[in-house]
Amino acid sequence: MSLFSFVHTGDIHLDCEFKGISTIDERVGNYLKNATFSSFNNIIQFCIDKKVDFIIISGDLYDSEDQSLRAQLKFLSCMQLLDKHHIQAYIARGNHDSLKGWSADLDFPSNTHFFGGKQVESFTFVKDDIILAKIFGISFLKKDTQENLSICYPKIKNNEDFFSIGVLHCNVGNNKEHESYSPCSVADLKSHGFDYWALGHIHAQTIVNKDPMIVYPGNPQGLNPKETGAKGFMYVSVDKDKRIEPVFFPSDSIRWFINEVSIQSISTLQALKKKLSEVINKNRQEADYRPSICRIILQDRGVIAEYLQRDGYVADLLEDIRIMESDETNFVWVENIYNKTKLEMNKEAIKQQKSFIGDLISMFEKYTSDPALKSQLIQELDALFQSPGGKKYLTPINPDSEEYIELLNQAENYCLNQLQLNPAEPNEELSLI
Amino acid sequence: MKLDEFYINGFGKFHNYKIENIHPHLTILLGPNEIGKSTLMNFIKRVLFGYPDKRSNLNLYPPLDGGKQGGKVIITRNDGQYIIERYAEDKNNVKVVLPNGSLNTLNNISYLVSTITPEVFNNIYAFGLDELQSFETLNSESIKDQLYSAGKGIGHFSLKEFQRTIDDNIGNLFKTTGNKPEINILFSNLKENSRQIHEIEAESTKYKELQTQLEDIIEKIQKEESEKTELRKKVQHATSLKDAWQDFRTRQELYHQLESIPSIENFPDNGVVLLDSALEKQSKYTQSIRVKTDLLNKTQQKISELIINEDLINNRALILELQKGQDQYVSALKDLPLIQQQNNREIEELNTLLKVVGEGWNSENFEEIDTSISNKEKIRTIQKSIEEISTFIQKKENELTSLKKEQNRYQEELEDKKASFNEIKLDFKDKEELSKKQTLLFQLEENLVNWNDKRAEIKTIEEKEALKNLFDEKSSKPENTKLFIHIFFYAITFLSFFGSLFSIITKVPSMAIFIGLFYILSVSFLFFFKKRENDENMEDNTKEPQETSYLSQRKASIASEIETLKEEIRKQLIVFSFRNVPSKTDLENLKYKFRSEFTQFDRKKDLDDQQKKLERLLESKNSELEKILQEKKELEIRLNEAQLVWRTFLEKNKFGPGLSPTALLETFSIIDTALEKKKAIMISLDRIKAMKDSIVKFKEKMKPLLRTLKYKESQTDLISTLERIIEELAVSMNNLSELKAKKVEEKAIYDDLKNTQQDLEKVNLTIQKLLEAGGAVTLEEFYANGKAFLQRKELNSTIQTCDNNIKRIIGEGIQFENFLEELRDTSYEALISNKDDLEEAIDRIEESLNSLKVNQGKFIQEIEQIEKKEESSALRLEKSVNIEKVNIKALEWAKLVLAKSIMKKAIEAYEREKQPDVIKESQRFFSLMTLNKYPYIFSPLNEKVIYIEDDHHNRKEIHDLSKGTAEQLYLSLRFGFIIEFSKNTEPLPIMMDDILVNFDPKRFDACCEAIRMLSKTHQVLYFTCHPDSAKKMQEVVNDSRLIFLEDRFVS
Repeated sequence: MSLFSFVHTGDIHLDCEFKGISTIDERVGNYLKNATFSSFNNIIQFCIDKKVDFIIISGDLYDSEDQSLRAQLKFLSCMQLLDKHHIQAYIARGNHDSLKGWSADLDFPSNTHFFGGKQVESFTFVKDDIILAKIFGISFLKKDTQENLSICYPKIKNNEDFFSIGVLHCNVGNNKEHESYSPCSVADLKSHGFDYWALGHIHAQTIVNKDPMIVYPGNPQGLNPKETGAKGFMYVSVDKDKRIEPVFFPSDSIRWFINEVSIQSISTLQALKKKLSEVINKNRQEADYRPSICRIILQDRGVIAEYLQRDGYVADLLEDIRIMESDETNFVWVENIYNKTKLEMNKEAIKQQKSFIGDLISMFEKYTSDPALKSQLIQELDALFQSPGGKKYLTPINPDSEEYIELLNQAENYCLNQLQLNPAEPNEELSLI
Repeated sequence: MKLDEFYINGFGKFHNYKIENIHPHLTILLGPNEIGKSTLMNFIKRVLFGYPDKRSNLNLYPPLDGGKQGGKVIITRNDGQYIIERYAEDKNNVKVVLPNGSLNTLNNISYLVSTITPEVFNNIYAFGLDELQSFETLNSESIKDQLYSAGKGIGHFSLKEFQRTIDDNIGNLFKTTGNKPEINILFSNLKENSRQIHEIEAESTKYKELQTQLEDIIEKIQKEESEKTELRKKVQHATSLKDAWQDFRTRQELYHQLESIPSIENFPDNGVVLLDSALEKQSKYTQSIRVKTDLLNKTQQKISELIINEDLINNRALILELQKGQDQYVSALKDLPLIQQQNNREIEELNTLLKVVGEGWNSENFEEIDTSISNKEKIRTIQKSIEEISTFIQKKENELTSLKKEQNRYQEELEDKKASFNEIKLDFKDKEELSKKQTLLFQLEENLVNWNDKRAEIKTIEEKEALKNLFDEKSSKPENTKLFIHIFFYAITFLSFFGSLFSIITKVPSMAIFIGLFYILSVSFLFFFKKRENDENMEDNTKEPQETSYLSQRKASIASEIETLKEEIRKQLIVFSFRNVPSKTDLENLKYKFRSEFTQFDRKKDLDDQQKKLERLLESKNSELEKILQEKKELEIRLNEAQLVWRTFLEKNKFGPGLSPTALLETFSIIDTALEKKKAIMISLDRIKAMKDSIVKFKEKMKPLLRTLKYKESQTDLISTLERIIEELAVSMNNLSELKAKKVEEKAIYDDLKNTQQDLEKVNLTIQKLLEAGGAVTLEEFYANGKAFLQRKELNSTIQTCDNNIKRIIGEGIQFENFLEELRDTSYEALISNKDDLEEAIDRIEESLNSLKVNQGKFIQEIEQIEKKEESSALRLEKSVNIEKVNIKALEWAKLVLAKSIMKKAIEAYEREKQPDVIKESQRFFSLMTLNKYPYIFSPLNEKVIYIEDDHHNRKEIHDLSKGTAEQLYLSLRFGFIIEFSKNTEPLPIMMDDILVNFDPKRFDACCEAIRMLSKTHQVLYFTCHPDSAKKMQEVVNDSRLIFLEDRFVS
């Protein structure tokens, strides 16, 4: 039987602006601007329904140091609600919402406890006059905190009666996919004798270690097209022998998907539409009938590649699909369709023909592989990428990156398709579309 | 791709015209002028590439000889044979029969005819002398693009056009200056997003300041609210004193009245009312006792008056039973005679019916006849079977009659056919013999035409020779003239020489000068004539022998051909028994005769077929007749069998043999009626018996009753007696009931009387007790005491009401006595004045509060506005979307820029290294055609012009070339393009219309060689009107076929 229970969450990024989406409509816009709040509300409601004893937020509660007032007020109202239900809240600040940033200086209720940034602080959780848990934590003083904060935590003795929890926003094991804030190792954390490490910073839900339990709950709401699948928080119950049972619960109000669709076995555009419709319905089911956003990437070679290269075709396809979804309550918004298909052709054989097309293919190959030619070619993009707007808003293209190769590949496909290298014989089904 | 054959439905002068067996390499189509060579070439072009617009200046070739404009072209490709069919009326749809036999209707067959454009095909693949002679046909943008892009592997796609498209697309996405391209718009939107976000964020910092100001106002409001509450309490108290004043005054007055009324210690509650009620009851009970005693006496008197007959009551059950059977008895007596009469009539009717059934059947035995449904069904089955068979027999007889009529009709028809067959007489043994003769006739006709042509040609040569001879004769004449001129000028020279000498000697200078001048002129003329003569002699020596020998050779050759033809014609004339060369009319008559002979052959064969068919029909009708006769016989046997079954049935059912099934069924119906009758008679007899029994029984029951009641037993009118007895019984029964009721009533009155007497005693006791309780002995004393007690009670009650009112007004928390004390110490006017003062103070505070609350509302509104601002979320989301969008558009732009850049580099490299391939191929042909005089064609980079060079590298431009050489260059360029283009695409057939007419014989031969080379890889159709050219070409290209266009009409 559990002695007490708590919810561990983090990386909520309240009022986040959602990066990497190229198109939205009014309905999706409304969902998105409230998505982080809705998912946080889901967690708060869960705490109330399950009558948990406290909630831990392990950093990045807000999306930016200059936290939006809307985010702060919503958070305040959530804390007031928890207070009514006698649920405590312990909050550490992370790199996104470090103590350096602006705050509206709101009056939080007595259940809300923020960790300071100068040293590790602790709060005691008492129930029926018994100390059940001690929660240790530290907030980021500034965004760029590169020192290992884990070493600041005290050592906990084995025979302590209370359950000890360490709250920290950090990058354990120097995960290269994430910025290296407060880097530390599993061994660092284990050495302190805590029963549970409530970590934040990594957005994918991960149980780093089981004894002691070191947990990243992941973020409760996917924040960009790459953060796909279910997102949520950890519900942890602790029994009198300090045995713990963490369970993941989804809380996202809108879910993200990336669907890579091969056109290899698709012979008509009608069949492609059907396939995309299936993919969208599968997303809907996987999203457990909550609204979702998906990015479709068409790839591989196939007979329909030539048609997909035509100006405006993919845009029309996208429009059609969105129209189909417009009446759905649990809609799947197709954010974009990326056409990475390749024309069905034997480039080597064409090169052997000594035709202009062959020479063109060879030319593209040269500019894909020769470093000197690559840097020469990339300069032709300076007109845009080095313009004031370009410098401010565009991601520069590195000639050694995969992106550059993909770009050249698309340019090549575009040329080959326009040159009508492979004028297909009329296909009844294609012509019908 | 190769042309196999084509069929013209209607096109220009052609209708139902067909060319087949086109050679896969070279086909020479020979025909005189105006036979339609250009028409045929254009037909192929248009079926393959479509019909021109009606508004164009091109010849549309409307079908002048009828038919639907258009037709079919049959081609063979690597994957099999295709039939392409296109008509001008539906020029956008082409019917194509694929090698698998399926028929498709397409609007584009470009994949069959490679990626070539119609313009290129018209100018490079299918051309006549006009196109060849004009360099412009090779110099249009589209042709140049194709010529110079041949071998690029991009079909007719224009690179320039493509580059322009990329440039447009790049410009639509981004420009360094400008605000319309998509990326520029997005940059501008992003700038605006940032500005708006900054504005909202600045507002957020005001939030805390506003909150502090709001808290101050809230504090002031709370303080004034508290003051207001205190004043309100005081006003409330003053109001209470004012409201309680009237009750307080009433209370004081009542206390004063109470002192003047005597005090009665005890008096029963409602004593006066109770006493009044007891006295009223006492009076009511006394009256009631009197009335009830009278009623009891009257009831007892009535009981003693009632009389009852016991005998009647004892026999009540028997009387009632007789009364019940009374109606039945009366009815039996009345109906019995009628029913007996009716029954006798029924018996008579039954006997009559049985007589109809037949002798031997009576009312005792007719029930033995089996009229059951199954037996009737048997009859019907037998009846149906007999009727069916009879119908079939009738049908067969009808069929026999109609069949015999048909036989007769066929026989007559056959006789007619035989007569017609015998009437047709034929001159030939069979159709084959006729066909051979007809072929021979066509050959004769062809030979005659050739013979005439050859004779005409030889005549032309002879004319040329005659002209030459004439010229030779004429040229001999000037020799004499020349001699005469020479002598004349020599004479003049000598005369003038000697004349001038003479003038000098005779010293006449003017004459000497004149004659001297004349001498100089003569000498000059002599010198000029001499020189010209020498030149002419040199020229004649080279020209003459060559021309003369050619004409004579040609003449000899034609003469030999004429001889051969003559011999052949002579043999053919013998076959047709012509003594002389037949006229065209003779030939046409003969052809007509052959055609009608063919028709007769066909007719006779047709009649023979019809006769055989009729004989076969007659035979089949005979066998049909026999079959029907057989079937009829079988049906008659079946009818006899059915009739035997019927007779057996009648015998079994004991009926005579003459009865038909219908008659028997009717008899059965009569028997069913007789059975019904008999059943009714039996029921009637039973009823008569029952009536008689009921009369006897009624009389038997009456006898003992009459005896007991002392009536005479022998009475006849039993019914009247019974009715009297029943009346008497009713009287006795009524009296008995009344007696019982009176007895009960008597007891009830008695009991009631006893109870009333007891109630009266109780009331008397109550009156006594009340008087005692009210402290009185008499009733008057009791009433006076009661009145005083009631007055005191009422005054005390009013005082209590006033106290309650005052208490309700003062509410909780204030002592009643203190409140009364306060009222005693004040006046009403003082109370009013105090209350007004307090209310004024409250109004002042409320005014101040309202002002504070307005300020509070403003601050709250401002704070709420900041709190509710969600635009920042929407704006940041919009900015994020715009950033992603601009990045995607930037990648699109980058793709196009890279595509454009690499494409440009590839084009440059290609032109630099590979472009001259077309030129190289053309050069090979040009060198061959000019007999190696010009081995080089040269095309500088990026210049779409052509130069040629001789073997000494002397460069010439096109306008420097002679007409013939220029044509050879154009032809070479076409051949070069065709070879180069086909390296990457399906080779197409080439059509040329008499293009070699301007070539000298050697270059003609060389061009034939070039065509031979080309025909190895491409099918060539060469249209010409020159038999010599055709012959020459056939000699050079062995693998070829010659088709004479004039003979190919097909009807």
